[in-house]
Amino acid sequence: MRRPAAVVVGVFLGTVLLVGAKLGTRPPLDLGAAVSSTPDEPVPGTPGEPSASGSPRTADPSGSPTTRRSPAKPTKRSTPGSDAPADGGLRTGSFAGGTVQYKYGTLRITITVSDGRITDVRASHHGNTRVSEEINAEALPKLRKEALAAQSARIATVSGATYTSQAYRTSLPSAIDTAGG
Amino acid sequence: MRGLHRVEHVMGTAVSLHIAGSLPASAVETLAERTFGWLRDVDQRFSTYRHDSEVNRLDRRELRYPDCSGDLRTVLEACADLWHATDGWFDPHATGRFDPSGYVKGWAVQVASDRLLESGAADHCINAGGDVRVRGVASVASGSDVTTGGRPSRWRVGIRHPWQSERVSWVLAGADLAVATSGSYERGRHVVDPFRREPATGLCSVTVVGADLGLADGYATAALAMGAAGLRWLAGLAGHEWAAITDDGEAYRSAGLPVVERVDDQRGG
Repeated sequence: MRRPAAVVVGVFLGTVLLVGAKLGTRPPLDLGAAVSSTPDEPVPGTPGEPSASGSPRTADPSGSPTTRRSPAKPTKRSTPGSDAPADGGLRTGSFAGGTVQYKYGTLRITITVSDGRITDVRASHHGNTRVSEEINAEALPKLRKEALAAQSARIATVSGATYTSQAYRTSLPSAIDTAGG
Repeated sequence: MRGLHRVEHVMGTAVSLHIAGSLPASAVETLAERTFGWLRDVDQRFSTYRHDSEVNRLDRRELRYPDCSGDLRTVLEACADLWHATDGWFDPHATGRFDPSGYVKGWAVQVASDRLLESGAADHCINAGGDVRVRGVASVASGSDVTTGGRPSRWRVGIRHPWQSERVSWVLAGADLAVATSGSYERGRHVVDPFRREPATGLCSVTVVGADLGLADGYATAALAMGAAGLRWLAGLAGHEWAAITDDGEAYRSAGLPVVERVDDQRGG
């Protein structure tokens, strides 16, 4: 209930992370480093390569297509130590998925495991910012680009963003309250 | 002037009500009082600023779902549907607590408009802090409208220019429109990207036009949160028309937006 977006995205994309955590083949990693890290490097000799039907497309911001096979493989980062699963469950630590490309930009999921339980799921998102790329990406026949007009036509009312906060309540000129008489 | 125009401060913003048409004055007064009474009631129960509001009691878990009012359950379901429909970009938890304000205002006005229509006030316009619901025709006498020869004219709804508060970028006209605008130009970047938990950037104004003001409001907020990607998302939004302005001042709109060509008093541009 508290974080539905992250949780559901986590369920969708984080399954492979659970596989990695369950197999217990990787030490935990530092959360901060994981979130800001570059895309995954292949780690040799590890089982549990996620096969994942519906596996997301590989993020490839650097444009080197052949080196990253599995975008959602847990990233290996430092911090060795008491990471053995207590009872065959999940390993304690934070596990970051690879970056995945989706239609709103790039996403990476990180889960935190403590005492065999997932205690947090985080999504770090990097949006696409270039409008021209968005618009040119595909033909959009229903979309029109126009010059921004500044008219003063006769109208009944105006739609626009306005204050809706408590600050507005106190700053609103009293005149408007009586404007309608 | 025939009909009624009243402005009241409710739900944290200014709400303007026009009732046009030829209903008796006493009936119009009653309908206006009922309309504002409903909006005040919604404010009491749904405001996040009121400690004892139903929404805050739910957020504090003092209230459990089965004990929620029918209205609150309606809102909860609608928010969940919007969350799905926008791939999570409309997120009533984006600020770290349950806050359905992005839907409630539009929903409340939509309900008010529906009730006016049922009560025989077929011609009306409600503007709640920039979210607009119009139905029927504008009052004949309201503008001595020479362009229509005194005949009843369609409601004209301007979409505010983001940086020139007295100007509008588009003028819409119609007999049954819900027009919701979300923007960053008035309150700053208050719409939060629910994935990054940071203020959204890329678009400074998004207007969505449809039949339901709550939905239109939710979609506009979601598209603003998406940033530039919101343009493509809007282009694929079924059953709605839209207009958007980027942070760079580029203007985009759907081909079917019910715009009035610039015939009156046009200046600037």
